[in-house]
Amino acid sequence: MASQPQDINDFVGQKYEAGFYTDIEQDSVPPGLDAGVIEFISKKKGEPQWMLDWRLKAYTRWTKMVEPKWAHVKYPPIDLQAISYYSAPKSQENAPKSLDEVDPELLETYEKLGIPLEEQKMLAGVAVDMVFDSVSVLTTFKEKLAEAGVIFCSFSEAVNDHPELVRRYLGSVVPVSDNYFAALNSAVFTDGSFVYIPKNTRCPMELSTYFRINAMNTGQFERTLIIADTGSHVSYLEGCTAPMRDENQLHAAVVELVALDDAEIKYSTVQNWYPGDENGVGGIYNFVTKRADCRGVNSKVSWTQVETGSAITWKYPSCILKGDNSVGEFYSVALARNYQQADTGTKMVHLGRNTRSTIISKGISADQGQNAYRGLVRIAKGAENARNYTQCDSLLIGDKSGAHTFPYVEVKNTSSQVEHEASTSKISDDQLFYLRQRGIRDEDAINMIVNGFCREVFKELPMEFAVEAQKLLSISLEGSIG
Amino acid sequence: MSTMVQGLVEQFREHADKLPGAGKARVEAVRERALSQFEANGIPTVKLEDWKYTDVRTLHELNYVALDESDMSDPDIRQLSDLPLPNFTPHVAVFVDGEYCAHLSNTNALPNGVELHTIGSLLDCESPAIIGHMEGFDAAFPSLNSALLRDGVYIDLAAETVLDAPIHVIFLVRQLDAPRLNSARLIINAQKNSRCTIVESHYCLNGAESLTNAMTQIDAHDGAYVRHHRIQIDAPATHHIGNVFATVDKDATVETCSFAFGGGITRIDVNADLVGSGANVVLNGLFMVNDGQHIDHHTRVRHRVGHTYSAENYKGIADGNGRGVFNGKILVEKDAQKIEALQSSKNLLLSDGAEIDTKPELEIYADDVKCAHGATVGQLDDDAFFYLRSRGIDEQTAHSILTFAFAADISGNIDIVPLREWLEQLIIERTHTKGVNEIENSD
Repeated sequence: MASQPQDINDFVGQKYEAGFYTDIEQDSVPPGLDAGVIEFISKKKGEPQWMLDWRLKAYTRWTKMVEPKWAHVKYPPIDLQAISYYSAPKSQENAPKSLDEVDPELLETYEKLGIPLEEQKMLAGVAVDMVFDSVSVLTTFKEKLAEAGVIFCSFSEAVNDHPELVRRYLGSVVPVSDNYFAALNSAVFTDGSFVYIPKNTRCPMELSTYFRINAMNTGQFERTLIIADTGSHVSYLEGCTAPMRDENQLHAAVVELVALDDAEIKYSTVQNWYPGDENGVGGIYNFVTKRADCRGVNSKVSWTQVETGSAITWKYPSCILKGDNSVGEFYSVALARNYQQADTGTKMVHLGRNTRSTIISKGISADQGQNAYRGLVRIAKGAENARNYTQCDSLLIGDKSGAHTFPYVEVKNTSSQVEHEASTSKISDDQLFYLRQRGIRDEDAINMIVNGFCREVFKELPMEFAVEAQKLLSISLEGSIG
Repeated sequence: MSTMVQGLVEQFREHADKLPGAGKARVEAVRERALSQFEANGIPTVKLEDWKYTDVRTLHELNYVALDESDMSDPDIRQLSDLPLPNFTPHVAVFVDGEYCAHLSNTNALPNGVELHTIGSLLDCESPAIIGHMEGFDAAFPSLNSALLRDGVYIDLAAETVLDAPIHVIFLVRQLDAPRLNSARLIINAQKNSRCTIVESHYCLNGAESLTNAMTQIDAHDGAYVRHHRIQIDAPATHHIGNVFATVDKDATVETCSFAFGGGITRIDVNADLVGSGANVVLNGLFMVNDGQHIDHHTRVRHRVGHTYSAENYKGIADGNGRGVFNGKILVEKDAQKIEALQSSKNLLLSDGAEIDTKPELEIYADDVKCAHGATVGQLDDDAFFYLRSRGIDEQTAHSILTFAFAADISGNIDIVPLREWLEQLIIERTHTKGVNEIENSD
């Protein structure tokens, strides 16, 4: 290591730049979880009885489950009774109709992140459904979307306004008892986004949600449900940042995607929750269940994620390829630095004929960071001519970092073809030397190499998001990439 | 506690005094510890990550006889040449149902510096060498092997010794009245700069219903070179658990090649620890499964220090309703820099009833490493198949040729010509099992 240029060591020393805390009055329940808290949440949100029943069913299942331990991450036990399960900004009663009415402090928060709403509005006609702590306080461009027949609203609105859709699809991809954290989410989720794209409609703009965790001691339990009806197309962007805090916070979201015949969903995530400081203190626990159901013939779901934040990430955006000729894609860049730990990957379950899936995973580990790829490719007996290609590469920066790969390949069909390849290496001295002798500074050279390493994933992101993702990665690594 | 565990513990309590080394305090103590370890673990279930794809529940309910005397006067094997085994070396040690069979073995021609002891005799004299090899295992089956250890081979090569011809250690299993549990053990202690090739064969005679719990320990000291070929052919009712542990020291090389042709459930774990700089390990393997067979290979390569190298190449062919499993793990420990580790798992899935599960894992805690793995599951190449057919070769033969070519990658590494030819014959026989109709249907 002694021979490594100083810049590589500096490269990872950047402080978290989105660390600030917005002081807004909260409307919270005391910490703890029991059926009463669930009833409180449900009542507070004015939910119908069926929703409460569904939550309570999930809660009953959850009480019988145990926390999974198989992930390649280490963390102190989480006391779920010490978390407050509901907190909403006070101003909820008189929700603003336009930007002018929004709490200026909220707007400032987004301003500090470098994504002012005004600018974003102009930038590509992006509709933003802001989730501030748990309740949506603002939804823009609703009218334009309504024209196209697209429903894009907060989850609680959907429960009241479109109960037939919610009842039909909620939990159909991630059942309440799917896993420990999904069951917990099903019981206590407070809000999230709901999207429905009607038949043969191409969503006129890219949909985006900005999540923020804000209040002290509030686990955030988001629920997202996206339904793309026959022949429709939607691109959904999700981005996250969280203010600096010294206490670990739990984030257990559930995202369900349903793609019917000939429908396509593109789901992009930039995740930059607070990763903890350089000593590994604090940071978000990000235990997310994301799953897409390619129900229809010729449907397609594409997951793209850039994961730079969270102390612990535990996340496997998956595709169930049920429809014939359906396509699943997963593109991921995951960065773990300081004491961050990431156990992420995907599941591609091929059930239909001629189903195809592609997995490209790039892991970067720096300092003490531990990055694990865990993926499953399962070809069921009836999945004639199924194809999968998997590539997962890891880049190691610093001799205390770790990169791990746990791919599961299960094949039961003779006409299918599955390929998996993985490599792990550090930035080679030859590459660095080549760039340096062309007069490129160490730092720029490393940025260039890291960017090149992630290129295959970045190019899958929508343009504006790709810029942001590169920026995030550079900020996370040093501050001068791109 | 399952029937099997209970049955074995009871047998141990009843018959431990008849085991070699009985009455020797150190042997008894180590057996007791191993047994309680086995009792604590029990037989693994699919809930354990390591046994996710291999369900050994069928073993639970069987009551294996492990500790009665076997009848060595049985005249059915008069000479080794009666058996369908390859003959390529003068040095042969044969075990029948877990016990040394002197009249079939020949160890007189071993050169100076090479000592071959039966483990039974070492236990009787409480040799520290054997006691040291019976400890330090966490898993159920190695612990069980230590607890019930009766016989096996301990091969010791003095420093600088070069073994002229391979030693062939043969473990035979016969059909007996009750299902039997055989504990086989092979220990190779290769001292500084010694060289040897050891062939370990597990062969089942006339469809014996049994469980073999085999263990191989290889210690390659500085500069030693050990080649180890492991061949397993069992009958459908024969289950096989194999554990290979190799410790590779400074500048030493261990090459181990596992050929598994299956029985009922076959599970082979190959563990290699690279503990000295310059250590090198090559793990190869081939398995062929067909109806009613299950073969699971688990390999673990642990790079404990820097400047160590590993290369792994496993191939699997699954036909009928057979199931093949490969799990390969490469672990690079903290501060073990300058590592090169390669791993490849390639599999052919030839029938719709068959299944392949493969899981190549990397766990890396150092940065200056070059590690790569690849895994594929696929079929015979259509173009190659068409090429052969267009040359007038019938489907069955074309199928056979291509399957054989896939497997020959591994068998071709064997440099003992008669052994290689014998193995290739076995592979070819096994490629013939598929009917022409089935080939047409699968297209």
